[in-house]
Amino acid sequence: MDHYKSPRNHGLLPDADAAAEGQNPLCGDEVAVSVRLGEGDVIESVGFEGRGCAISQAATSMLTDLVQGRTAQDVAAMPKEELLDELGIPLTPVRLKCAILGLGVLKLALHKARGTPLPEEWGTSARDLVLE
Amino acid sequence: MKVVATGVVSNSLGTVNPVEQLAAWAHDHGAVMVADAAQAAPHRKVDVQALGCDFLAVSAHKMCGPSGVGALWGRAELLEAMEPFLTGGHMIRAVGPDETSWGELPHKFEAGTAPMAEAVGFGAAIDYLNAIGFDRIEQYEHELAAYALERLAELPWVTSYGPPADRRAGIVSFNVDGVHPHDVAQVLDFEGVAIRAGHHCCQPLMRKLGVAATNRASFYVYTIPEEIDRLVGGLHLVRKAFS
Repeated sequence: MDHYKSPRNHGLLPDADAAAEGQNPLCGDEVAVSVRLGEGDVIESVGFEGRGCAISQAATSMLTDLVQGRTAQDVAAMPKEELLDELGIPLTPVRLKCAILGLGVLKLALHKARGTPLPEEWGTSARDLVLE
Repeated sequence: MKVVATGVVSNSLGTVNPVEQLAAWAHDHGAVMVADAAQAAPHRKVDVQALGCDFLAVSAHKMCGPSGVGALWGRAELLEAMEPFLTGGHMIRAVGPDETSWGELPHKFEAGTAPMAEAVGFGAAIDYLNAIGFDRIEQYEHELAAYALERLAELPWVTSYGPPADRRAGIVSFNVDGVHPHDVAQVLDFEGVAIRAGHHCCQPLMRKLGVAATNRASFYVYTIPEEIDRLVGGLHLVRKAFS
């Protein structure tokens, strides 16, 4: 609730190196993420904007804290469990999608900017879920 | 063939649609009127003659019956003129090397082994509802919907959608200012109040209302007014948690 009411790193970065937006059509959650990368593709700062349920927005806020200082490659390979552990609450399958929306959008942004791999489990259909 | 299709009762707002007028309009334009009464049949008397429709569908699981079975009614002359959409056991009259004739209605459209247990269960559910009486069910739901709308109107931070109680079945859709319906539903769930939250498979309607989703409280014969009070109590907790 703290992350929902006072989101960290809220607001898109003016001179971003990577950016993407996505939505979860089932809920209408929307998240846009922008990233500034430093030397060695280390994430220097992340900003996000969005609207939707508390889980989607709070999880994205937590994510922005988690990924700063890590490389784009590292984050592209980050398992969703790491974020879910951080969230620390049990989620139903529907709400799981809310929780990992921000992570998906961030991975998409890094993929577009640096060609990092997208999660294999996305296949081709899940890629449509994260709309550009 | 042109088809006009509508729900008899809206699953997201509870609006009772004027199917009689729509059917007359459809027929004026040479179209066939298809009515989905899945959301109406549990809640009010559904009379295919009075509605003037050509086809009407209902689902057993919305009428206290089993899942996986329902009923599709069609005007006999239209069904006679139609070809089967599914082939299998029970649906033929005579089969020859060059020619096949179809069975009598309704067998022509009931290929294969029927879900017998489900069909019997559906019948028992209809008997149960008839024993209560659809006029009583409709009247009781109307009272519940009116009470719920009245209680929700006391909350200035709640927006209700849909027509007045006398033109709706027993559901109330609403939103709490600034709180996503999934969050509302989660808090209410903690309080033992189960509602539906989401777009109710009606994304165009949600867009028209200008919302991502709504909360929907549904009432039926087993709902008591005290449960609506608990819903309102739960909404105060939602407001407290998210403000």
